[in-house]
Amino acid sequence: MTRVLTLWCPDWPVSALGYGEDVPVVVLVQNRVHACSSAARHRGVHIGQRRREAESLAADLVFVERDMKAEGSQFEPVISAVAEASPLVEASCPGTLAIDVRGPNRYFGGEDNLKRLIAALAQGAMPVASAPTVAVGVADGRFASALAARENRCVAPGNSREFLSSLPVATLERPQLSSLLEQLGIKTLGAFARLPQEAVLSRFGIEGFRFHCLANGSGEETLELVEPRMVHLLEVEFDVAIDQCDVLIFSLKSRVEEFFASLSREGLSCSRVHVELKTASGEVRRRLWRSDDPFGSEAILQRLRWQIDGWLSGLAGEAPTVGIQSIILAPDEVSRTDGFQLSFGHLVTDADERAMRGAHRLQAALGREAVYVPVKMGGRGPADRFHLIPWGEPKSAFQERPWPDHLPSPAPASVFPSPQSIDVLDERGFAIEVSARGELNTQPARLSFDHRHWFRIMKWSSPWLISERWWDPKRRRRIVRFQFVLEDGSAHLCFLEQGSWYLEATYD
Amino acid sequence: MVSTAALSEVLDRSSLGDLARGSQGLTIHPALAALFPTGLPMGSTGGIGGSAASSILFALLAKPLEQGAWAGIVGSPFLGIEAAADLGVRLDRLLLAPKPGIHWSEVVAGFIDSCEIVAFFPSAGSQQRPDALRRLAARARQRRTLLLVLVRAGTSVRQDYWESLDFHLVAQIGVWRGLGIGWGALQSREVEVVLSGRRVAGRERRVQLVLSGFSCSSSSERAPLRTVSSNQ
Repeated sequence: MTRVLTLWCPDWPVSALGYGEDVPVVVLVQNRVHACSSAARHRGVHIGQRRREAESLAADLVFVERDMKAEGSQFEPVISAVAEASPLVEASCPGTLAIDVRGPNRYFGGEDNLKRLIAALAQGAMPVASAPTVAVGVADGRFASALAARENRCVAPGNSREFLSSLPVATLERPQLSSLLEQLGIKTLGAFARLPQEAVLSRFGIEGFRFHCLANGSGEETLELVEPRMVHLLEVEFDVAIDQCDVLIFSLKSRVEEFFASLSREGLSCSRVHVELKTASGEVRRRLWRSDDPFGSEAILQRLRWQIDGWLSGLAGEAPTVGIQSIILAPDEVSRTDGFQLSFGHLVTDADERAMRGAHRLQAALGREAVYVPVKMGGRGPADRFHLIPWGEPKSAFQERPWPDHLPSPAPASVFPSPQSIDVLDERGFAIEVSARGELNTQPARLSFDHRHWFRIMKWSSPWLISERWWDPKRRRRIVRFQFVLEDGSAHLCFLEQGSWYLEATYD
Repeated sequence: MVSTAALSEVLDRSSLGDLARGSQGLTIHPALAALFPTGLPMGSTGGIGGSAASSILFALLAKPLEQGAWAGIVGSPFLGIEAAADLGVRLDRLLLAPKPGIHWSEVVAGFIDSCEIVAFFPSAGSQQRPDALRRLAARARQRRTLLLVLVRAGTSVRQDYWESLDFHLVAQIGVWRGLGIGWGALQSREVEVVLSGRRVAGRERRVQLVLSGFSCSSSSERAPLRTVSSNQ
């Protein structure tokens, strides 16, 4: 798992509005407390309270409505400042950002240095009026890192599990799940992680299973992702460079909306978007935007506005000298909305839950090899295209190999992983030979699967020569593939290797 | 106090009635709709055989899995996954047990409990026991799961075993197109699918299809219906 550094500004909704920690400010959303300053917290205010309840606690509380615009635009300078240390910053909500530490680590000499540097950079870019403190955490994986940031500490590699184990279940921020766990006497993430996977799945469903994975530190790898190559990206180029944010957003709006509509039509959703802004003179700004819920066009346009406005206005680093010429949006961490997936808050159907539970039960009773799922691998022959892996294993461990299939035909419905030995002869009973240039000495006429009963070959393809590892004299392999249609209407894929014939697949 | 044997006999006879009155089944592929006018007969147990058995199975699975159903496939180490994907089967809704060994009936039963459609390829011999099939069929009926027994061309099947199924779908390949004498490549074939069974109203229904790698269409229509897989 990658090491992730998370920078967290507590009470950002308050700080963005220019209030310091010592002013008792309460930020409201729909008459409920969304955030408050530490002074307000001292007076007993906490998140989730109703306005009237908070009002009754102290007379000097200041109530304000949440201002998303201010939160976003005030955080842009912070993101740019951090981007100087690590070019690709992942921003989720204003107030939090994350970076992958591998590169910067080496450059800045260790995680402690990096932590101090990032904190200093961010602090320097914070709004002057509120001057909030920042906290930085480093750990394996995004989940642990965000929690480490709450305590402003570095969790050593491999210690995520230990770190997480003492945290209370309320940190999962899923009140229903955590109250259920507490009722059962499970108060810490460690106790939760110790429960057997099977039990968690059948008792708490998919969501519980997902959090169980996070709690025992193995988390994000179990996401089932669609290959990024298969997903389109959105590239917009303007005829004339534009240097006004509103005009840009206006021009992009319909393109972005159409793009996300087409994603959801295909049943896909993404939780991360890579945005690249490029000016006419070649200056580039890149950013990763993450959302816990799947991205919609509204959310992305709002973030684009922050990013573009921050750059063009010069508030977030140096403004570009010319206008923006092109914008690229590349969806990342794409998964299926309507299929089985293990992600925060995504809906999973009853049928999915039933199937998952059934698979787990069978594996529990009969072992991991009881249930498999197909995964795409890629290879020359029909048997190499897909492999089976046991249910529950992370698919990210298997990489697709880039060998395109050369057969111009439909795929055969039955494939034999170990080819079966057969006989093919010509009309007179002689063997068939294929020259290095693909010329046959005679015509195939009959075929036998069991060396006894013979079928007439009614149709056959011209030979397809495959030369594998021609550079390696020991493992060199030369095979010749044929398609045959027999007198009973069946069609087969066969190959000839060193004088022997084999059945590779049947088109049944 | 009714004995279990008598009870199961009563259930056997009355539960399905006429297949034409199938339950509110899952969507069926348009080209095969003529075979099951009221949708797939959930809860029943049928057999699929013939020289295009595997492809017809994939064509049957495509629409239900797209709708959100799951399928469990037992006993086929030769399953052409790519062919399934090309015909529109959602691979992320498949559970597979290619070599279940002696636990084959437990795996089939487990899949019956958790999936909407189960396809089982019984090997000749011990896996073709009518009594085991009866038990699994009863379970499938209870869970409203469609249980399909696949007999690929070339596999032998016991007569009494085959006869005990509620319906039979036999898919035979007619003419292959695309391949010649020493040239070309397989492109598509005409397949005749015959549905028969003692519970099918009118005794027998048949359709003519054109099956290419990517689509399955009625041969009476000219325009093929594409079922392009979206799970690449």
